[in-house]
Amino acid sequence: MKGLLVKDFQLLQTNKMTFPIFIIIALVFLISGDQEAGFFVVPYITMIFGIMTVSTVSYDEVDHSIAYIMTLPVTRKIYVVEKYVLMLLGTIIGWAISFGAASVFAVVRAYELDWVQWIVTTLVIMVVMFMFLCVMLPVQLKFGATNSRIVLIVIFAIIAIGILGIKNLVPVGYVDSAHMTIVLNRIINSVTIAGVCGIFLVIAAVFSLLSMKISMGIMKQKQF
Amino acid sequence: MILKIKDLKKDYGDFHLNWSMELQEGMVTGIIGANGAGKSTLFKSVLDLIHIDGGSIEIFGKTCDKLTMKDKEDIGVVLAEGGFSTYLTIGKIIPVMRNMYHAFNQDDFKKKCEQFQLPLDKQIKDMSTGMSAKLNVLLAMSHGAKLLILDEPTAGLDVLARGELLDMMREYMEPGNRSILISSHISSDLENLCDDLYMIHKGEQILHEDADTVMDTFGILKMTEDQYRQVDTKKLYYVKKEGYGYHCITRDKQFFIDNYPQIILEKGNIDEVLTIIERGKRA
Repeated sequence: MKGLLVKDFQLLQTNKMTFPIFIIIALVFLISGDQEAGFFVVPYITMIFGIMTVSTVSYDEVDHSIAYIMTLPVTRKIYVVEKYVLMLLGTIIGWAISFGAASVFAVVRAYELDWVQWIVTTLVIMVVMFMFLCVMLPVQLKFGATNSRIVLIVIFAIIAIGILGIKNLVPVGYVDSAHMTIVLNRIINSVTIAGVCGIFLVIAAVFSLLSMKISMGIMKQKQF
Repeated sequence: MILKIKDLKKDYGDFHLNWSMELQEGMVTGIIGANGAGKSTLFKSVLDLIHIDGGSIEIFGKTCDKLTMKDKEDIGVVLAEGGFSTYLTIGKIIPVMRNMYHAFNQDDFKKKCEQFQLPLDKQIKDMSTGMSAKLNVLLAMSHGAKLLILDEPTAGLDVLARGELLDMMREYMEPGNRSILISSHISSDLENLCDDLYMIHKGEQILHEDADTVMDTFGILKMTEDQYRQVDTKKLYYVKKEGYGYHCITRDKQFFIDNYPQIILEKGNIDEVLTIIERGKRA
């Protein structure tokens, strides 16, 4: 797997001119923005880094490179696991850079930050971004670089329509928002922040493992 | 036994591959056939890149799903289509190979690249067909593999470059415990390199002989239309209509020498045999 990781890092380096552009954009937001800018920059950079790692699948598809990769000392399963490890590394590095930069700005500009909230929120953002990549990767493996964009648009459109549909199906006044708030507050108060984070992490881990299993199934069926 | 294929079957619509073969240690086995004959399908089946519809394939005495990473390190591959991402340079491929293969000899590989004038800092996509073909062969040979599986490794190369690569393959075989399975549609590449040859046509094995005696099997008959009407067509293998008569392949040369001494019978060569098979029809 180490060889595959080295290959993908080498491929990502061919994009080395793109990274500074995204970093500059993020810096512009931090410089010109206010305290809230950090909440944009962290997901923005984390997502860019994550998507870059998924893009290595496209590099593998060009000129039948993937067929050759499968003749190297790797298996289809190792190939999939390596992509998830790479995605995880990408999101963590993206989060670390953006969190670091935004935190420095917060200190320099003496923003009044609730540090625990700031760290937890950005970590949650990082995990959500990783879960988004966990949707992207199997779709890309199944449909290829070009078609996967269309499939992803369709998937997210269906999700959006589904949410809107549920909202419209529920009769007006059926949900008592005041009551909901009380219930939610009761739940939040009964569990610690660590507990909430723990539950969230378990859900994310199950989701990621499920995604990896689907990706392995797709790779197993693939013919090169 | 390095490689054993038994009753391999793979169907693609009208195309049916039906293949059995063996590759012994220390041997170079060639697969020759026209474009589309099924060579790449055979190689992809051996490399587990496509799912087979029947039969069995064993490498080093193990089925593909039982091969360990160590076993895979002992296999060097050139595919007719596909190699490392063309966005990489040789310089970037070196650390990948170092982390993939324990036996990768970096210094020797760099020396060979220099010898073949392959620049380390040029992206593969900017290299000529010949340069990338040489690179693919060098990569396959860079980690001391016991088995080389080379699908059309000389495609797109000029005569000089082909000669250089074939010499490298001969040199690679010197330790004595290595084997090569190689395909080509250029018969001269294989005639002088291989110990034995298989000929493939539309997925079927039509010949397996020692390379030295391969052309002793077939005779090429050159007949007028009158001669063709008189001969026993059961003794013909393939027939190709020409402007002035027929060119036919027979596996029973002695029969024609004895019974039709007036018909021109030539030893021919692999290219001629392939042309008649490809453009003619089964008798």
